[in-house]
Amino acid sequence: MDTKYKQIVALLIRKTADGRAKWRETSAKQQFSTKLESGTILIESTLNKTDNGPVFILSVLNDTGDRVFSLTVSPLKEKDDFNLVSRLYDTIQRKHYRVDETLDSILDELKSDVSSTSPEDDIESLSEAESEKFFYRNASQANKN
Amino acid sequence: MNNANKMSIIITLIGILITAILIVNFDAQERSFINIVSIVGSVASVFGLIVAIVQIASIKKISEITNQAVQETKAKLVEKLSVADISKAEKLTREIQAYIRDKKHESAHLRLIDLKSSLLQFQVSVSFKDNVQFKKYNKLVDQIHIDIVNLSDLLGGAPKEVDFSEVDNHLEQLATVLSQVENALKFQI
Repeated sequence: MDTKYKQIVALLIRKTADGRAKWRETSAKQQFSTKLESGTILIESTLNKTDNGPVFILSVLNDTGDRVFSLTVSPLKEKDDFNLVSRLYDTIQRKHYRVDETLDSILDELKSDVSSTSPEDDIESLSEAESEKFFYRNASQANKN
Repeated sequence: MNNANKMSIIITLIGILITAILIVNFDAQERSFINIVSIVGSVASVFGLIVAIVQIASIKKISEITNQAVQETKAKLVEKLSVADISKAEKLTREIQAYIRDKKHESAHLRLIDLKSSLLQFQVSVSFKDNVQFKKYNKLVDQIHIDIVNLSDLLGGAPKEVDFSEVDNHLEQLATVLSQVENALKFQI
């Protein structure tokens, strides 16, 4: 991918994360669009026509709605580019579906129901319990054998 | 008789009166043919100039009024054409909706391209802009542009899932906006 396109994608990631670029879903599944003064940018997560592998398609429409640029990135051919566009797509999804806000709300709601211990302690004690369970399961398996 | 002509006659009469007064006030010795011709010539030059200025100003005003009338007629004609175009675009939108509901995607795509050019024309029409929520309209046009691109990809064999109920929804909203503008313009003319 050309440096210019990489710059555009990197700036879009930053602007999306800041909430300065607003994306909306379109009539196509897994496609988002954002309107800029000079045109519209479309991003789509889809399958490759030939090998049915996952690809991202980045398109630019000019102010008269004509597609002036389209870029397809595949993980097999352009791994770095794919990762970059994938990061943009992920950021858009997280912002659009308010993933962070929802998770924060869930966490706050759960925290308010639980007693004084911190979530970190809970994670630690859960891990210990899981390890013990694993140890006893393996031990009983060994006895059977 | 217009004001400029009336004014010209009055100025001419004043000129004749002044000339007569001057000639009458001459001594018998000064009242020679040459002096009388000289006085008549001088007064006629001055008052002739004033009459010329009045006439030029009048012609300029008439020209401005004519120009304004031409512009107004032209604007009214454009408005009438706009109403007809908007009505046509609305019918085209309904036609596309019917094609989409009947799953005739090729026909819908062709008609959408026709619709797109009309929508772009409306975007630069002053009378249209004055009668529409421009931001909302632009957003709808943008969605229609994306729908055209998606439909085009789909017809080209791209593995894409297009939600046609969403496309239909965009067209429905567009038809409503076009109908509102058409009615607003009809009652203005």
